[in-house]
Amino acid sequence: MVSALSMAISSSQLEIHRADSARVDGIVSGGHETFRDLVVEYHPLAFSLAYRSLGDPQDAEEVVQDAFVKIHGALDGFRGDASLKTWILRIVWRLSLNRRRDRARSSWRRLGLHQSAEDADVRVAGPVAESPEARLLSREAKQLIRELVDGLPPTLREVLILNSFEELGYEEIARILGIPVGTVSSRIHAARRKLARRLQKSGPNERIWRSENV
Amino acid sequence: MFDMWSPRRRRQQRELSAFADGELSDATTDRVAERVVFDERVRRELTSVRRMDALVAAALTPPLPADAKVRAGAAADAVIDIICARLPAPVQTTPGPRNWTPTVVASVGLLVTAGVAFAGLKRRGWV
Repeated sequence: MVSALSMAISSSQLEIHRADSARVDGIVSGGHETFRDLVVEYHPLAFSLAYRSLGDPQDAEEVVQDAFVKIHGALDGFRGDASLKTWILRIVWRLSLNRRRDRARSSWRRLGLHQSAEDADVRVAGPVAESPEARLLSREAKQLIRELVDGLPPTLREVLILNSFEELGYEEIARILGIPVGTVSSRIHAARRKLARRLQKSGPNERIWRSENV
Repeated sequence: MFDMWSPRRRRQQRELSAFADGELSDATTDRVAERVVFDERVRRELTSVRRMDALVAAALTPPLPADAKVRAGAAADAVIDIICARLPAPVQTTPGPRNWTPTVVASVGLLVTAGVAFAGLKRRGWV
């Protein structure tokens, strides 16, 4: 029963990878218009991943742009081992980590002279819509949780960020990070425990939510 | 009676974490679901895991611009512009005399020689 299920899953994954490979072949031989369609399709997901890692819309936008330029140059090398989505997100994730490292080295950042979270929010152009949960969180609470997540060890922080995507399962996270699925599971558990402990230390959870909505 | 740090307890907590993400096999899901239904403490733990996830997602998720599709299109155009700017300039492909292959040169030479020989023969009235 279990083996039949896993065979069905792996055959459906194989179908996805085959479709992705065909699509990549089409892009390689097709020209810029087909590649543009790919960028439009995956841009929101790529931007969301970069933003979660960097917490800055402008940095995220630049990283995503770099990533798609790199992806265009590397399409010939796409072998279909993973899905196109996983492959793209892996490249975006690596570039986001590089940008984080570069940013940490910057003395401006170290001195705290970079823009504040308020500035970052303002720089997202156009009218914005937030999820109900996000609306319930005060700006200070968001900042606090972001800082607590940023303060986690890198191996725990990365799985927590990737797991915050509903679209990504453990297996895809494992492929993006190049670690076993079991490790993803145990790291997510450890990250949750650590974050819960740090959140408890920072004060009562009720203060996290806006008083008028509690 | 039930040690918080026992291997069994730790395994159960790991399972509950994976259960919250819907990442367990059917058999383990049934087992954990049963614990959630009948054990008040497990239920509380699951609630706190879900609440933690909601907090993290709310704090990390970027504000969605209302014109997300337009922004994606603009970003795609910018990427295409960069790619086009990086393409090497087109190489001139008009073949000059130097690009003639030896075969073409030999063929032309043979034709000229045959033409001259034919004209000479015709002048002498041999053809």
